[in-house]
Order: sequence, then structure tokens, then C-alpha cells
Amino acid sequence: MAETPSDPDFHEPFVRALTKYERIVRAYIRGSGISRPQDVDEIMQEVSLVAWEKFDQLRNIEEFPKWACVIARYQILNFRRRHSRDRLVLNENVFELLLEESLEESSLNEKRLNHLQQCLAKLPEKSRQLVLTAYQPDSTIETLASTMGRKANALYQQLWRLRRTLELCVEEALNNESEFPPQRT
Amino acid sequence: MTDTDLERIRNFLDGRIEPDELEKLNQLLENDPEARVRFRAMATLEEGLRDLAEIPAILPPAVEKNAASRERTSFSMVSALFHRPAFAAAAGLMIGVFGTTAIWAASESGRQKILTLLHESFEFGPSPRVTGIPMEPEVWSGDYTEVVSEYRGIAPKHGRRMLRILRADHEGKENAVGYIGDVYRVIDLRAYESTLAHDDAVVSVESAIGSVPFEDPNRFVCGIAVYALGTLPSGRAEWKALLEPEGNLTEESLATARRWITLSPGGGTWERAQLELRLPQESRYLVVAVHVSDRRAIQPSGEPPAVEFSGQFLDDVRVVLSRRASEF
Repeated sequence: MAETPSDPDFHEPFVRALTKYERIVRAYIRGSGISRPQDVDEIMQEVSLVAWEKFDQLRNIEEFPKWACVIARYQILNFRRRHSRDRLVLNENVFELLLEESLEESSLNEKRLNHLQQCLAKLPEKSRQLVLTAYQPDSTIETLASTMGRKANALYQQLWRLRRTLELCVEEALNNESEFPPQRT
Repeated sequence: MTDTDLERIRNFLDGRIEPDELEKLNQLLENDPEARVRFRAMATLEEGLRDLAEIPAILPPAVEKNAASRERTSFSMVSALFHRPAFAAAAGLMIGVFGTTAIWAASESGRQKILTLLHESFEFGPSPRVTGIPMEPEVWSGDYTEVVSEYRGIAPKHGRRMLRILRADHEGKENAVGYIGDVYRVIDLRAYESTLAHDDAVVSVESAIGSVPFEDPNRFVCGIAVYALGTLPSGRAEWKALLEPEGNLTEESLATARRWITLSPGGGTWERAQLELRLPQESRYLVVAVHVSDRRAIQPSGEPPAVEFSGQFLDDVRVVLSRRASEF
């Protein structure tokens, strides 16, 4: 790519790629053992800035998700070093296993995320809204339960069941996909 | 894996795991590759749900009615309102400012919004209506057009389809003459009042314009325009009063921007028309208009003939709402 980050023509492909693939990079970060959403945000922000600075080195835009995940890998390791003494962090061996294995799964994760959207659409309206509300930024089970006049634990269990339903739906869709690959028409 | 193992993974991902349970989870993940696969699958779904939850309109009930509308909705759903820091960084780029400093500024604010109101490449959904005037928001309408795939060697700019401008008249036009083919799209901004309230919102409109080869280099010009309105006309007569050749759409608009480009006679290449408009905070609707004019048909006096366009196309139309980075 001949352009540089200061070139306005450079902006759009980057923004478009980031828009398209950010969720895959986020899934990679989370799947690497970063449990807190706000930590994923922090790492993702670093990834996006490093990716922006190095974007002129990317030769094929189709490789953006894997390339960004490699950038994320280093950012995750940096984050891990800074937070290694935190109470609720996976141990180093597990962390490295997850980090390496996750890198191979970006295309699978993309399929998984696409199926998730379809599976969510299949939920009854009330269940779907509950899930979406629970995952809103800054939403907590406790505040949501309070708003709904329900007990937090009962709501948590309901959400557990709904997430399990979604998980099974996604896995079933992945299995069907591998048994019946899409036909060209 | 047992239900207890699953619960440990779930609790970890939810930030609710206790230290002694974390130790058991560590042992499980270290020794069981299947458990790690499951862990990553669950983590991916967690991020996916966060992503979907930040796009409030992604799954309205109506979306489920048919596959075509679902595709269209999800396609334009890049559309969404993004609050995330990475998108904030991207927003600093998208609205054009300009370098790393702006990216950082946007990132630190963490609240920059960028919203793709429309990304249309005519892949799905109904063909534009031939009503001449916009009959309702979020539907293309205007003069005679057709959605085509490759046409006389011109391939779509984006996806597999594009819109061909056919004529400069429409159904019910009393006198089917004219040399400017028009298409319109009304965009409802009422859901974005909070974005507009700061009086720093900017809408950018761009479209790819293509043509088959032609000889006279001044023959075809294409215009894009955007008009910000506080209210919509209440019926056909009011719309006609705004849009007809002597109409007063510009005067009735809160703000407007227009740009014309002359199409290259060589054909085969796509050109891009784009413009920006700063939106007054009272804006509630946008009217996006694209015009193609065959100037050879202009008559020194009298009415022009009823033009049939030889092969002029519209594709990859984008309407993006953002806020000025300089006002962080």
C-alpha cells in the first residue's frame, strides 16, 4: 500500500476493515482468557492504534483479522504482565495455551458470530430483549433485576439458560454447515 | 465436561468466580483441550452478545419476516451506533481529520459516535419505486430505474448489483419528457436527536457513479444533494411543490448541500461523488437525491425529448452521520 496514515485515502480501508473485523479480534482477546469486558475494551483500543500505525505494512486486506489478532497477542501479553498479580487471572500455562490456540480460530469465530445473530433472532421476543438488555454497556444483573422487580439470582439463572440455548443453537448451525456446505447457485 | 466445569467457565467469564474455583478452572483448562475449545466458544459468544447489544435495532421483529429484509438489515447494520473506544479511534479517522493526534483525542473521549445511516448497493430488497417523489422514509423512489448486474461491460462497483437510471420520467407523470433522471431516499433522523442536539453533527453522502462509454465529454453530469428537513411534507402535492423543477426544496430545508460532477466519456470506470453537510440540531429527516442529466437533450427552446439513458449507474451509496472531532 503506497499510502501512509497521514493520507486521507488511507482512512477508509482501515476504518472499513476495523468495522468489519473488530468483533473477531475482540472474540480472540476474550477467548485468550481476558474475562472482564472493560479489559477487552482497553486491549482493543491499543490494538486499533497499533494497527493504524502499521496499516501500511498489511499487503492483503483479507488478512486483516489474523494480522490484527497477532497484534492483539502482544497487547494481551503486555496486559497480562501488568495484571499478573490480580486475584482472578488464569495461570500462565493456561493463558499461553489459550493464546496460541485462539489464533487458529479466527475464521471459526467469524462463523460462530454470524450464527449467533441468527440464533438470537430465533429466540422469543421477550427472551431476546432480556439478553440484549443484559449485555448493554454498563448493565449489571443486579440493576437489571432491580428494574424488573426480580431477584438477581433468578434472573442470572434465566440468562444462563438463554445463553445455553444460544450456544447449542450456534453449535448445531456449525455442525449443519460442515455436513451441508453451501451450494453454489 | 461436567455441568460444574461449565459453570466455572461461565462464572469466570462473568467475573464472578471465587479464588478456589479459579484454581479448579486452571487445572481443567490446563489438562483438557476440549475444555479450552469450549472456553473459547463461550467467550466468543459473550463478545458476540456484547456486540449485538450495542446495536439496538439489529433484530426488530419485522426482520424475521423474510430473508431478504434480514439480509438488508444486517448489511446496513454496520450502521450502528458505536460507543467503543476502537470505533472512537476510527471515528477520528473517518470524519477526516487527520492524523494520529485526532485519533488519540477521539480515543480518550471514548464517546465519539459514528453512524452509517445508509450503505446501499442494491443487493437486496425491492426495486426503487417509480413514483417520482419519495412516498415514505427508507425507500428509494424517483424516476424509472432498474436494478441490474453487469451491463454492457460495466460491473457493479460493490456487490453484484447496481442501479441503472432508465428515464427522466416516472409513473403518472403528465408529460413524459425530461432529461434529468432523479432518485430519492428519505432518511429518518428522529432516533438520533441526542446526537444532533450538540449542533456539531455532520452528514456525509457519497455515491459511486458509472457509465458506459459515450462520445461527447460534456454530455452526462451527475449530481448528489442532501437536504435537512424539520418535518416531512404531508402528501403528494406538498412533495411535488418541493421537488418539481421550480420547487422550493432548498428554501424549505434547514440546510442543504449539492455537488455535480461531469462523467468521464471513456466509461468503464466508477467515479465518486461526495459531499458533507453540517446538520442543524432541529434536523429530523434527510432527503438524499441523486440526479443524472443528459445535457445533449437540452433544447434551446421548447420541451426536451423523453430521454432514455444509455447506461448510467448508481452504486455503493453511503450516508454517514458523525460528530466533528474538533469539538471534543
